[in-house]
Amino acid sequence: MEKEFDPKIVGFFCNWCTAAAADLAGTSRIQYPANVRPIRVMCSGSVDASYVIKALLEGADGVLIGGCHPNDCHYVNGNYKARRRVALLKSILTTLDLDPDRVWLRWISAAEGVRFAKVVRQMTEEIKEKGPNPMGKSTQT
Amino acid sequence: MVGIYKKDLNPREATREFFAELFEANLISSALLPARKAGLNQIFPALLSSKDSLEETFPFAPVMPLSTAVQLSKITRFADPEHTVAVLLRPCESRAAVELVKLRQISLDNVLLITRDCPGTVEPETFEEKASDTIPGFSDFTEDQIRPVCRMCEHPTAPVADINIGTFGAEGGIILEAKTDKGEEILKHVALDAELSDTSSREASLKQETEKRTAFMEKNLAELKKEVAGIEGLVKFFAKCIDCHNCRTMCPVCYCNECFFDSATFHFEGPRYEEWTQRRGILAMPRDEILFHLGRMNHIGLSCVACGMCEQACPHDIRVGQLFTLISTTAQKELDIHAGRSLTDPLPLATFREDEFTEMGEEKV
Repeated sequence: MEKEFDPKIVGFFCNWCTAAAADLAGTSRIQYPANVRPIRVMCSGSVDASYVIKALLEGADGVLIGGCHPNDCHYVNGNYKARRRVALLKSILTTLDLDPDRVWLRWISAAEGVRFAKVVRQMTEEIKEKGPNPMGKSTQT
Repeated sequence: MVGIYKKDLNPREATREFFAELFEANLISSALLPARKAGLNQIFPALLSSKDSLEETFPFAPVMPLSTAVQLSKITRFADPEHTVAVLLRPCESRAAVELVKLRQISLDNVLLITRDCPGTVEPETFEEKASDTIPGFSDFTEDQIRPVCRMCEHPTAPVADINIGTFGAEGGIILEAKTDKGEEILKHVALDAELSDTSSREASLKQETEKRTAFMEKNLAELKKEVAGIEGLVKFFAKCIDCHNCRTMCPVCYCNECFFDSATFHFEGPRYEEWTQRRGILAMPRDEILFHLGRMNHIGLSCVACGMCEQACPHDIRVGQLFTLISTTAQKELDIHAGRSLTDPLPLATFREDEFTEMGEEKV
């Protein structure tokens, strides 16, 4: 029997909210799929599109960016800037027919361990349905 | 103020006369204009100190070896506000200059910004072939020879200028239009043939030109979009890329002194290559050229003025300028950003609006 597709998701999590939510989910023993490879960053606004694209080109099946809810940014407005940058990235991916739905931006506060687990579960399921990312499968990249 | 200037002269001669008047009236101390380089058939921007060398200038030569906006950035660094320099830019150069002002790379304090209408340019090689003792004009070239990015350009005239030199709708001479107070003040010292109270024929001419270009753009970009679709299309499109970064070097809005893509982020140790090769079986070299282009689209896509300098600089004739036009026009429309439109517009990537993309990040689970 063929092995079931197990997606790889790279997560860029804000230190002040989503990374703490991931920790909370863990200490609260909430079960969620182990498909996310988390990378802690200081702010969702510090995630350059190049890092997201690099992950997709190197074999990630999805990228999850987790930031603070609007008006809750530790650095006042980094999340708003992240939102505009993700909008631009998605516009470019759409124009090039490179599946923008593999990139997710979600606001997850430090108190939302349950929401974090749900987001990861939902994203894993949806990426599983999509199948492997063709961007990472091309040997030419 | 809008007026006809030197209606018995052609635009080249009329423009030279106009700059001569600016020098004579001591309104400017120098001027940056397209000029013949060392008596050769190459047209490059040159700084002039007086009206004496004006016959070496070719303000309407349909060739752009580089974007003058970058040169403007060099000459306005710590500039002396006592000395006014007049610069002549085509619309895409003016729009790039506006982006560089927003990025604090150009100061317009001592600059008299003069723009001129632009019907399009040809590649420098095409220009040189045609040039002999005389410098060719736009009408010496066929439509096919005009660079595709120019044929797609929706800005035959510049949105930002102190004074614009209009040729669309001009039946002889040039149409001088003051667009700022500084420009108004200057035009008071210039002998216009007649004030132009009715500009409808100029507007109609500009509208017709823009519509023609929009139609070509829509057709051309629709075909290109189909061609580059998906990662296979993109890899094929950039297959000949040698990762030389010429496109970035010539891009007027790529202003960083040290580019992210030249940084140590991309310096890997030998064992990493070994690991990747073992995992993939085959590892195409050089690495990261697709990442470079996609990254650059994200970094400057909202400031891109579609001048096509990237494409002209590509040693392998990759249509990178047309692809950036596709990406940037689409993204700028979707994000309601207008590169080069106004000096007071905020920087696209350093600002935000609380009420935009409000659905993003909020999905309930």
